[in-house]
Amino acid sequence: MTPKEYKDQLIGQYTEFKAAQNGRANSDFQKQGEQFAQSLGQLDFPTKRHEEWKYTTLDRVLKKWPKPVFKSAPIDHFWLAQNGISGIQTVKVILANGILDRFDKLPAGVTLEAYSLGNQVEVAPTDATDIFENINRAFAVDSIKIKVAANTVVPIPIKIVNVLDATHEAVFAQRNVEIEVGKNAEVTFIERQITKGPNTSLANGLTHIKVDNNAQVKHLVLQNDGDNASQVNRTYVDQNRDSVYSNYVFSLSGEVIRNNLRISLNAENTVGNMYGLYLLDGKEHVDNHTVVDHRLPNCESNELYKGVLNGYSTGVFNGKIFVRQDAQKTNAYQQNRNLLISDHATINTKPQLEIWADDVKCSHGCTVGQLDEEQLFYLRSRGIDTNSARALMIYAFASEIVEKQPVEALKEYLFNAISKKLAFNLE
Amino acid sequence: MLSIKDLHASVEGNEILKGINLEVKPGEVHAIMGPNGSGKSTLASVLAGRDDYEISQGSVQFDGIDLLELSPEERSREGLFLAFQYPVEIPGVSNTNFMKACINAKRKHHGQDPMKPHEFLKMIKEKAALVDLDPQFLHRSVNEGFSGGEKKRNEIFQMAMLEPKLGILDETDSGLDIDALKVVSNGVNALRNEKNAFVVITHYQRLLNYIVPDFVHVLYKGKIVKSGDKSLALELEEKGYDWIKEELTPAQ
Repeated sequence: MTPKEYKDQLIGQYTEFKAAQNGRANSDFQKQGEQFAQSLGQLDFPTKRHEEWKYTTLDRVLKKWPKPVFKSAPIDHFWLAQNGISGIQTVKVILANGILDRFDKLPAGVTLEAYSLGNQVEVAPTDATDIFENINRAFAVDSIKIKVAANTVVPIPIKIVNVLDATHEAVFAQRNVEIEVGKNAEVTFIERQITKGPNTSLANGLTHIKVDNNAQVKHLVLQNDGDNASQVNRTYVDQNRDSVYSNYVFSLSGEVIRNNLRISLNAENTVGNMYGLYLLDGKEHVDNHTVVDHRLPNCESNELYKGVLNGYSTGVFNGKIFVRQDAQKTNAYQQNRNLLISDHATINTKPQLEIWADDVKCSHGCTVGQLDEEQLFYLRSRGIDTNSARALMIYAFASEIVEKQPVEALKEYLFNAISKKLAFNLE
Repeated sequence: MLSIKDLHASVEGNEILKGINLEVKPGEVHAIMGPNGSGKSTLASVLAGRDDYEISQGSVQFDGIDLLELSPEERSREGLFLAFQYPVEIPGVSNTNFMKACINAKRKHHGQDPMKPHEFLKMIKEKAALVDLDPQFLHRSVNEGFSGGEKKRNEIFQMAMLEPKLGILDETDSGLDIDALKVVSNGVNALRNEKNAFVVITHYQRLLNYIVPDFVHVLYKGKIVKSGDKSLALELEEKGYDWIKEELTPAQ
């Protein structure tokens, strides 16, 4: 099945989808959805000719005909607990196929609304030219909004887990999350997707995060789903004055992963941080597209993405920094570093800088390399065998990003996941 | 302990070692001197097992084992240690974790259990003190951002941790000021005993005032052309290498 045929089938299924929404079709949310469904006719899945999709294709996923999900699926909570992150206390918000399933008691100052709870959730403006956003808005059964009130310091991380049910068939699920963090508030979010069952899953996430004055938001994205699990994510971050937003994305397993992260520094004295680690093997594909938009003076952005690519895996990094004319005294740093540890792995990396202001400090760069032979010999000459020496060096390379993420209790989990992936053990 | 017989080694077709013979017994310190390009560092690299070299002839026995058959890691675990001329930086690997991995690899090789954490901690502190390394350095990445002197002290620290039978020091003294030289030499002297041995490769006689050798060998054009006691080093310092070259050149 070609992407075009897939899209045509998708449009054809909209009527069925609408009928399954139990008379809620007259809500604003669904009315808007219908408009997005209608405009799908004019849009196509991107091909290699599309500049933003030059190296990433979902063809191999769409070929499996992942069926759009119309409803929630019962969650096997025992299984979920077994596959969860142990040793870390969180406030859990659990979605099933993108639809709110249940959530823990929320800390003071935190509220949750959902379309499925009967709330009218207002979704931030959508890019109508983007097919994934259109599909998301057209086929989203639910939309979840989490608000953190001004001056609230949320003591433990809020974890948003999306459970996809691919037990019986290949599935395509939409996840729609809106986050608003009030003035002076501090909060950490952990986002994760997990698929149950052997079939293909594709999750299409759309997340808007508003960070108000002087708020501090840390946002961890854990991508360690199964071999047949794919995801396309769009995350929009809008920052107000004096705020700090930090994004940490760990892509440790999955079939095809495409992340689009866009941070808009909309006011003075804001800081946006983007850190990523991708560890790929087999035929895995991970594509990180990031944009940071410096609009006003005295803002800072820091970006470091590191990748280790083994087997026949392919990776893409595309990072854009915009510094607009008004954004004097900008500090913007961007780095993408890659280790290719197999002769068959590929990375396409493109750091981009567009500067219209004249009084700025900006740097960007990328490296693609192999393990250093001198370092390997040095380690071996001290009694460490070749495999362990290689592992030690890869581990050291990756650990920089693990150390940057703020949740202490998550370090061990991440290091274990890395060790498992690299198939070695370190004391 | 170490018995090198007629060792020939080449790199990319150029023969660099052209028949080295050397016997090192436990408790001895041998100094190897010689002009630039004579093959000193090649000898050290060949012994440590760097695979850029082709051994065309000869043998190396290390405590009864055919050294040339062993991988670099096996040589280390059997008790050979090379202090590098240019120690590399390994960002992200802390000195502590590095040493833990080395020591436990060696112990495993000899059928021993991993070292207990408190023993390891005690040892690492003692050995760091031996070469005057600030304990803070243990948390830093291996050699990253170290000064030249710190890197060389770290080599001797690692040697102290691994307690080798044979330590080979490849120009450990080059680029060191006199204070650092003393620290490094004191470290080596503290490790000397009747069971281990050292091969000290150097350009400068100065080092041998601090690490006093039992034998001095002159390596020239890939061969040991002269051997003597420590007075040979003094003679070389005074007269340079030309007189040896002349001795070797047949009269026209």
